[in-house]
Amino acid sequence: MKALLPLLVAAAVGLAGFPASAQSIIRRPGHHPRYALELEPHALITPFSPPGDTNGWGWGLGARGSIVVEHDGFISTINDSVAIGFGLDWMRYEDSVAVGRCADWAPGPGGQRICRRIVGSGGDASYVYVPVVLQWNFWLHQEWSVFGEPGLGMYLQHRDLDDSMSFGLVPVFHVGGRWHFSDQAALTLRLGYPAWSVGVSLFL
Amino acid sequence: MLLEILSFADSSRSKPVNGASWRRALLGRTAVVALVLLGGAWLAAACGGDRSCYDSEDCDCFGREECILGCHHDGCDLACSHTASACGAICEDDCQFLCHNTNHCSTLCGDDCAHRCHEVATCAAECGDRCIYECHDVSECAVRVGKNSSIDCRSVALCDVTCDGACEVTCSNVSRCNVRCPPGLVRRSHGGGRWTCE
Repeated sequence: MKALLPLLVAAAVGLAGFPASAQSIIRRPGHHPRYALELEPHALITPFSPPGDTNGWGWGLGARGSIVVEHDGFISTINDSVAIGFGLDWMRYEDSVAVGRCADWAPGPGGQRICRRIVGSGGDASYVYVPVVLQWNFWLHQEWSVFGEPGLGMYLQHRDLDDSMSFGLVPVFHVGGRWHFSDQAALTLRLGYPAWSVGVSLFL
Repeated sequence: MLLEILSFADSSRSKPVNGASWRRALLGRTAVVALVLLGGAWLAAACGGDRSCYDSEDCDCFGREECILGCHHDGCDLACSHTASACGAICEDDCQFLCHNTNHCSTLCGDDCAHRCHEVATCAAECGDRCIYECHDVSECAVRVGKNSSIDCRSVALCDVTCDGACEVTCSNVSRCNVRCPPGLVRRSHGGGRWTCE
């Protein structure tokens, strides 16, 4: 986990630093695409364990919709903007060990008992996340923008072990970057917790 | 570029402020504080530790009354020890399980498993083909294995093995070594406590 932090920072710095030598628009407030909604379907992967009693890495699919609330962001002298993002992500975690007590002791070889079923916690699970984030965008170049996304999410966990479901809240934090390959669309990469994503942003 | 952003953020603070820019500055600071707090919460959540059960005293099984581990994918590496009554594993193929210092060890797994049970009262296992099972310093060891398996009992009162195919059983310092072969195969003694079904 600690080894990943420098990676996240390096990714953000790298994305931010890339267009510095090109025609920067960061000093030109408001000089960015005008859109009301950014719609972004994406694929997800994460090395982090999810909240709850599941462990291991996960993968999934989802989408994010971000509604612009300030075209001129928190800092009046730079080209930033602010949006509120709502998401729906489904993720699968399949590398987890279940721990519990035996629900079914049955006679085995030599009359010794063998456990055939567990009740407990952990094990493989599916999650649905509903994140709500504050998206702070920095428009660096005609083709590049970066953003930070702190927020909070609700999750629903479904455990394979006993078909049980549970709800909870999870902190959400991402840094990301976009490559604007056209006026209406961008390739978007997001790193952070609970999952990393790569998707296509459509500016509507 | 980040430095550029930060220096602009700093210079914007020293300028005279009207209502709109004051609001913006306040929102900006609120966002930074929220970001720091959420970053901390994220780190706390992500570094919560590995709750899976490998051979360590930090394992979730340690000190429990009974602990059964379930791993529903291939290649699991599990361990359980120091429980009051029982430890167990239910796993798929290519599973490794180490079980010791409890009263009873139970193992249920697929093919290509490697299990070791020691310093307990009783060990019981059912595993598939090519199972390697080692049992030592145990009162009773009862195992059912698939074909091409290998069982090693050492310092055991009773070693009771049922083979569902060709297998090899070694009993050393064992009071009673029972080896049962499936129909069609014959049990052979090779001396020195070594038995085969072939």
